[in-house]
Amino acid sequence: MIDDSAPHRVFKICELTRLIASHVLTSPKSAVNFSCVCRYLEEPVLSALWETQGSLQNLLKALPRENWDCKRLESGERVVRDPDILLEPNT
Amino acid sequence: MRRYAPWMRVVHLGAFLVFGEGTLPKLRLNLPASGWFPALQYLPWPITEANLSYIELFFSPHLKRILIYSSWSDSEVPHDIFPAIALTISILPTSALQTILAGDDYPEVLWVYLKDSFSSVILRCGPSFTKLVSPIQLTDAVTNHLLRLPNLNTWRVGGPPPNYSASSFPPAFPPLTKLILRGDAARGWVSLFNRIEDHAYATQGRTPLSELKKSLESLKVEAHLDPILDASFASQIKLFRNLVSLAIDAHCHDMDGVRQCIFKLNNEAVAELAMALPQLEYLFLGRPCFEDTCATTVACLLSISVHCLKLKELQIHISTTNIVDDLKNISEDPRFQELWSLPKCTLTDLDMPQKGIPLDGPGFEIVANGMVDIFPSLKFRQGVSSIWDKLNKRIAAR
Repeated sequence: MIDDSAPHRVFKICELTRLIASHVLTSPKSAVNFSCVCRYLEEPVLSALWETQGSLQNLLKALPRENWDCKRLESGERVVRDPDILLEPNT
Repeated sequence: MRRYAPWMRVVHLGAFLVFGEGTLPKLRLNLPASGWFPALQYLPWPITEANLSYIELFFSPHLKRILIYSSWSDSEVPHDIFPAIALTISILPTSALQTILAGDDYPEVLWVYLKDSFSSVILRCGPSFTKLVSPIQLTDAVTNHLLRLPNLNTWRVGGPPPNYSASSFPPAFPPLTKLILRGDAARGWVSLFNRIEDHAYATQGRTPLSELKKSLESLKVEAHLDPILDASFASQIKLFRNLVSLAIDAHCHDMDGVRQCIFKLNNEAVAELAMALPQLEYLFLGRPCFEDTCATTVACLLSISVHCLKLKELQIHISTTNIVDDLKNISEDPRFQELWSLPKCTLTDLDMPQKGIPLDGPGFEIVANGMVDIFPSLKFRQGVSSIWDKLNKRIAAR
């Protein structure tokens, strides 16, 4: 029943929600707030948030904390056994 | 990863990300049917020893653009990983590939090594392919394949053309809008274009260049040590009458310890070129001459201003040693009288040598007045010398 309300009918139109999301998403916090409004908004938020990534860090940090670590690497250093993934820290 | 990676369309790979020995097998073992990054369309890839082990995880079938680059210098590049680089490049997915960009920062020795694997990738590219910018010299087969791609619009050519005879000329050239020629390959290509045109004219056949002549808007010839900018070369460029941008890099340089000017055009050749290319908005014919041995003077600027009315930016290799006399001559020479009366371009910025420009007196007035008569909207670029500022003030006060 709720899904037939006017706002939800609008939220089902991907083109519109993506357009709205592109204007609303100015920070991760605003993204979370926006996606909490309705489950139909999750997809456009994820799309907008993840579409362009300056590195793999955000993706790999979504893994459990024990799987990765952040260290400044010297050029040529390769052997990393524990944890599994070594990231270049954000500068 | 399964939740977020499918949304990623562009990812810039860091050069220093390192996976431990346990991670990569897990990622490969759990690889989804459509890959970890099924929507990835653009991948800037700085080749490093570290990411060679996992880069193929990013090779999405939807990949449209790939940028390959490195910060290795010739002395640093680890030759023992060349085979791994070649192997990885050879498996690049090409079903949707539109653009390959390869940086100039690569050591030449690596490009030579990658010639075959790179060529195999381009041979697999189809009609959707539009842009190849790479310093690598391609095989003749790959060059012929590229010439058949109907949507290729940008091409940086890394080597000379195949050795075509009149009977084996390509049936058509793609409608390129931008063509970049390495200096050592430029003469061969430009000469080929003219041989094709001459042959079509002689046989009264349709020229394979008909589309290219219409579409080409930007031609760039990169720097080379040979004196490439001579009258013959300039004359052959006149074929492309729709050029909006023409940039030929040439600058005075040391040759066996002797400073040499490599610019071999004269005023008449520049004037003919300007007359043939009326759509030009950007014209870069060498850098300003610091040897003052070239034959081009301010006289050619008047021809450029009159014939290229859309010109917005100009840089040209000219000598200003006798600029005062040169300006006097063209203001009195009857051959130039008609040009003075014609509309001029609205060029605002000009970079030219300072040598020969008097700091004050009648000579200074002649230069200020003469230059603004040629380019009525002119402003000299500010430099370390105060002469440009002084000239700009004098021009503004006119």
